[in-house]
Amino acid sequence: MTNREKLQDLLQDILLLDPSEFRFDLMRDDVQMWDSLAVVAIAVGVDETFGYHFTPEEAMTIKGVPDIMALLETKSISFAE
Amino acid sequence: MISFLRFDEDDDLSLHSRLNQCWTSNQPFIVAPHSLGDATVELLRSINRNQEAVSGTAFAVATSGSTGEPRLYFGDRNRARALVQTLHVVQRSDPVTETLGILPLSYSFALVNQWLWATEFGRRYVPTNGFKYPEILAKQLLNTKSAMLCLVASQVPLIKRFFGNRKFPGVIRVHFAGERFPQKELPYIAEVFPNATVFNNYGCTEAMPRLTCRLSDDSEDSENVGQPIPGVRLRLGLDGALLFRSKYSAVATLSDNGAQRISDNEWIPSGDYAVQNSDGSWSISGRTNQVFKRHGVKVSVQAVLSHLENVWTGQLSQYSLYDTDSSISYALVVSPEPSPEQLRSILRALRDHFSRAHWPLRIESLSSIPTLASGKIDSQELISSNNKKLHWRQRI
Repeated sequence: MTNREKLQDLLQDILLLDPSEFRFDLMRDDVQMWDSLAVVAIAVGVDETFGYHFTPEEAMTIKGVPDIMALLETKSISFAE
Repeated sequence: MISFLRFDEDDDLSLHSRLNQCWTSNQPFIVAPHSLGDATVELLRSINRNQEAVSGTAFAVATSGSTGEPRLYFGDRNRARALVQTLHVVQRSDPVTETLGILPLSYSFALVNQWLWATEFGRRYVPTNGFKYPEILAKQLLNTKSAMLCLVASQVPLIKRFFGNRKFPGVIRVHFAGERFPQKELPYIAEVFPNATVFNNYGCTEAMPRLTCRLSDDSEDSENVGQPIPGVRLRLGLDGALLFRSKYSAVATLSDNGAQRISDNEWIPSGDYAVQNSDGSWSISGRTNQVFKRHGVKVSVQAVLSHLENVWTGQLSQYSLYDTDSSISYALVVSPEPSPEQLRSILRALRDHFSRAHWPLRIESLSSIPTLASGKIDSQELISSNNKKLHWRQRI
């Protein structure tokens, strides 16, 4: 499973999205269920899946899926297709 | 001398004979499930230390294996007789000539609504082995005439599994109690019991046991339990919990905390939250131990389960669970195992109709939901079972 697939699975799971509803350019404002609790759940899920725990400051800056990938890329976690 | 009568699914005629003897000769007796936990056995032993509290009462019902908190509820003969007189009218039981015991008589619903009613009105009580031997039960149901049944909702899947599309025209009354009324299964129940009038009964062991009753056709809402029966008054406590006064209620309880008399002036908690409808009927909105605040939001597990019934046709159950912050929540257990698409339907229903605080912490499945001899869900087994399969979880 690629990192893209892992991230997609994780976010679908946390935000209860159908596979057809997921996009890698999804933004927080596009998803009603992306509330503050979801932010916490995403931080926990990213830690479990990729072994990196967002700092509170990092978690606050996340506005969408591209931000998550960009942040993790800086930690040498690649999302190249 | 108190007789202990321990019932299970087995058709033990000597036990029924002892029950008849106790009732007719005014001997005190305790009915209890056959498989008692150690805590319940200890409670029964303690009865000898609490003779004063229980003197003057006639019989007692031992509960509750499902929660693991055993308690004895003491009833009074005259109150129980008065209740079956009322039920006979409310439940339109005059044409009924016999009743088949599918639930064990350790369950107050079966003890009062069936056995005692049959005894007082000179009707035949037919013991069965329940679904332990479904073919024998099917024959008994086929041979019965003008019969009444008392069931719990979790037995409907058993009826479907074992009896399919068979018809039992000799059954003319079917009573449900003890769990959420299987409103959505009424078309199937009408096929299997084509001549039966179906009732939704509500109560609790403290009420010994009946509080309300309605015909199945009186509402399309499974939470609607109808109007109080004559002799029962209902009201809400300040927190929305349903309280009752009943001239039929238990007169004392015995638990680990000792014996307590129940006075006639006491408003007794039923264990549920409720609302009163504009027509005077009542709707149950959740068990008081299944409604909680999570992230500042009031969560009713029953409301969630009721909604999920629209997308999940199998069995649904739940048990309490704490999250990583030690806040109470719950796990949803479905049966049988859902397909990925069915799981997505459940998740979609949660997402579209409830905020995250209402979502379960976990969604698990079991091949079948464990039940007690009474047919009610065995909460302890549900929690401790190692066979649960995890399908989804919240990460907070």
